[in-house]
Amino acid sequence: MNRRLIIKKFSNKNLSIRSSIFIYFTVTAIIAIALISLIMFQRFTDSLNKTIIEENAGIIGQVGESIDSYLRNVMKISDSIYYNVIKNTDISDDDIKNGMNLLYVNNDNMIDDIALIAGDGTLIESMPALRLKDGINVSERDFFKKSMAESEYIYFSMPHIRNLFDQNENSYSWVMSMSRAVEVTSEGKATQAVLLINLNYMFFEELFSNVNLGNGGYIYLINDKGDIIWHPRQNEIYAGRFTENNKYAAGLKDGISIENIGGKKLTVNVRTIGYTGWKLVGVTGSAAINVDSMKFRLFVLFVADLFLFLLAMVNAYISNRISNPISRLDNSVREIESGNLNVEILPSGSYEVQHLGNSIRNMLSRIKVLMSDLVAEHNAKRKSEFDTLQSQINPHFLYNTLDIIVWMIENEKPDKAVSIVTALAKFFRISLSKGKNIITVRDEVEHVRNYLMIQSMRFKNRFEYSIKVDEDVSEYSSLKLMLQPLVENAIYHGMEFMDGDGEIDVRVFKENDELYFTITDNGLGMSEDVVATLLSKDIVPSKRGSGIGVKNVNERIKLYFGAEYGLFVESEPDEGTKITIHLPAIVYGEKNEDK
Amino acid sequence: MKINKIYIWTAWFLSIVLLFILSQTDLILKESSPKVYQVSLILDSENEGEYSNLKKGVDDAAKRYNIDINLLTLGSASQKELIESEEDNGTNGIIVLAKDDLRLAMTKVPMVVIKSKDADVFDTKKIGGSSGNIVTSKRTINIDYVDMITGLYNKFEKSYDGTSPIYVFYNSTKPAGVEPEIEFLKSKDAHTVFIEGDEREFRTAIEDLVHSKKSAYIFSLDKHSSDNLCKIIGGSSVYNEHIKGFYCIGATTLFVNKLDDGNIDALSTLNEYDEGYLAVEMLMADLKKTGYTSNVDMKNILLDKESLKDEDIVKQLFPVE
Repeated sequence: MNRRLIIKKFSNKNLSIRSSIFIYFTVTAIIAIALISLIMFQRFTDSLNKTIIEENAGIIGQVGESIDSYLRNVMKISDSIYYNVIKNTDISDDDIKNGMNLLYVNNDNMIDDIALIAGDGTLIESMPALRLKDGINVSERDFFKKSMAESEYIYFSMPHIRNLFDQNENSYSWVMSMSRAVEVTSEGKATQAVLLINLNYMFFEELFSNVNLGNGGYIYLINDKGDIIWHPRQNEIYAGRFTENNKYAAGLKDGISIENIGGKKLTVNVRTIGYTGWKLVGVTGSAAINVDSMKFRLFVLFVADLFLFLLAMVNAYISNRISNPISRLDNSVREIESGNLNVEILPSGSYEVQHLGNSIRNMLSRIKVLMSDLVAEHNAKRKSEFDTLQSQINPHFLYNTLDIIVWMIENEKPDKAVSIVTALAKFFRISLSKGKNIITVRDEVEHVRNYLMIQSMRFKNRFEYSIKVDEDVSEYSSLKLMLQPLVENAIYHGMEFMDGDGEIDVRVFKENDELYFTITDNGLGMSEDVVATLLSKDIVPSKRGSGIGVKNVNERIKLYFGAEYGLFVESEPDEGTKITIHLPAIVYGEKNEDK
Repeated sequence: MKINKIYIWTAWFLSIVLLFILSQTDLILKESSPKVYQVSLILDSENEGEYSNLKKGVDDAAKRYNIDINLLTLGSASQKELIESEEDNGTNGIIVLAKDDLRLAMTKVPMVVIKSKDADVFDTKKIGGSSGNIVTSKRTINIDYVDMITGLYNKFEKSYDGTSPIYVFYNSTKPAGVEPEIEFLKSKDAHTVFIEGDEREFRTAIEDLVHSKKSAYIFSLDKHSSDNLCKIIGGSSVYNEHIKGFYCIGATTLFVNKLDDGNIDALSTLNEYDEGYLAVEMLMADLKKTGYTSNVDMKNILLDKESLKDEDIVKQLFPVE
């Protein structure tokens, strides 16, 4: 999966605003804490390193001062021996012995022995009293040759086994020799000799053993060529069990330097000892080693984790504060989307979110007003359509009725003509009803009665009809021109082909506080398919009728009284049809037809 | 992502508590302070002065490995008894300079045995059917005494007049290497006289030589005998006149000084400081279960007076105190 796809996958993920805020904040916090921890750790180790280096530099400085002081003391002793004891004193004089003894006794903690050796290599005097080993030729020794060659030069040898004089055969000692050329007087003649002072090597051991550099550091002493004078692991170096970079250190200048020696980063502190040119070398490991313990690393992890936890809690609180108002708004919008326009919108949170909530709330109010207006407009339009239909009396019905009246007058049946004209007049009066759509049950029944009388005369008594209305329902509200289209439907579809035995029965009654009208005929009836289409298609029974269909009646009832009211059709072919109208039982006058 | 799940927060909080306990208390994680090992060093003689260089090597290595050394010289108890006693006392490891009669079966603690190369101190027949706390340690430092006596003898042969007797002194056959050295010398020359004993027997032999107005070459096969001979010969210059050459095995300061003085003609020895240091290293490798070779053959050094001019040799033979 390439990088772009991975990014796309994550960006497409449906993260909530709360999760997004939390993740972004937390990731930022992790990066910030990691950077701060890293910087602090680096600062801490740098500071620790610096402190250790400074402390070590101080210690090395002190040790250097001690060595310097020690060497100066030794040189002062040699000066004292030379200038106060030897010079201008005959070697046969006891003053030399006494003087050397005095200086030896006073400094025996640092001096093993003092010897005055003549130019021919013979021992003139020594403290303590010593005897040169048999077969020893002192004049061949390095210290002797160098001292004799440079009379002003004080020569310090490297550490060595004291092997010039007789000593206990079961023991040995390490010494460092200081030698210088001196002028001695023998029987009035001045000759050159060598003053040898063997320095106790244990002095260095005692001096260095109390030195403890921090962080596993150590000090060692080398000469200007890098040869080791003292080292805490000297024997191991001699046995080849430890390697020191002494030759490398000899090339370093005084001061502190970071050296990469043998793959290790080491701090090397070099201090040169005055006269001798010896170098005191302090070696310290990196401070990082010191802070590398498991517990320290776990502590750093603990602090980072604790800070991250606290930050995450704060992040969670902030993200909740920001996202909760948005989430509530989102839920409200989802409710609106599902059709619930009555949902309550309570804007909260930041100014932007509150403004958005208020806008949605205002928009919802506007939608509700518009919807209400739309419904009202729609209903008004429908009512207007129905009113237009109602106001139109099929010209065929009027023509046929007038034709019958004319026929009756021509055939000298004025009483019948009067009756039918009276019925027609009543029919039209109720049809108009001063423009009202809601009339009393009595008027509606009267309207259909007049219609049935006219039609029974037109169809020459081809059918009989009966109207039965319960006494207590006459003053209830009914819909104008509700029964006539249904009766017309029964006549034109049920009675037209009947031969005098057709029956139409109209009944009005109240049941369970509901008003029912039934129109029953024994005509041809209808199949189930026709019944099913009767309320869905606007079928007009006849061009000769009122032109108002059954569907129209049903819709008008629902429009004026509610969706739960309307028509119910029961019919069987060749058996007849029964149409039931269900209306609320409302006393006329209580029902405002505009509502 | 459900950030309001209480169990995530709980688990996170518990991890912080755990980290706190781990880093700030010793309840779960306890950083071990450097362990001090108790190690017993068992010598093969009563005189620890004979092994001062070896002791220095052991002490230097002990400093490096944080070891507390318990030095045991031979008294009335045998080496085996000392080993068992140290094991019972809870020592962590044992370094033993094996006498020729030492036989080890199983050991409870790791052990390094410094022994004659040809000696077999481990009795492998007794290994097996032992309890679970028994470990088998077979780390050895081998000293090739035959090579020592061979080198010494070769040196001697160059100055041998071919007729003078060769007196061979030894304290007993028990110290490591004496037996093979005797075997070697027996195989070389018919003029060899073997003298077993202590100072009294040696002095008698030397005085007899002086009284007979003859001269002889002498060999000393162990430190103890060499020490006695140095004292006897150093006691009178007359004795020296009847000794044509003195060849010895061992490395004490006395011998080296005598070599430097010219009283000893040749000395066969080894770097005892390194030997002691190596023994500790091998033991620590065993204790810490790190890899280290099980058997090391020490390199012998043949010294004469000229050799002491070599600073490197001097540094090895005279470790800094």
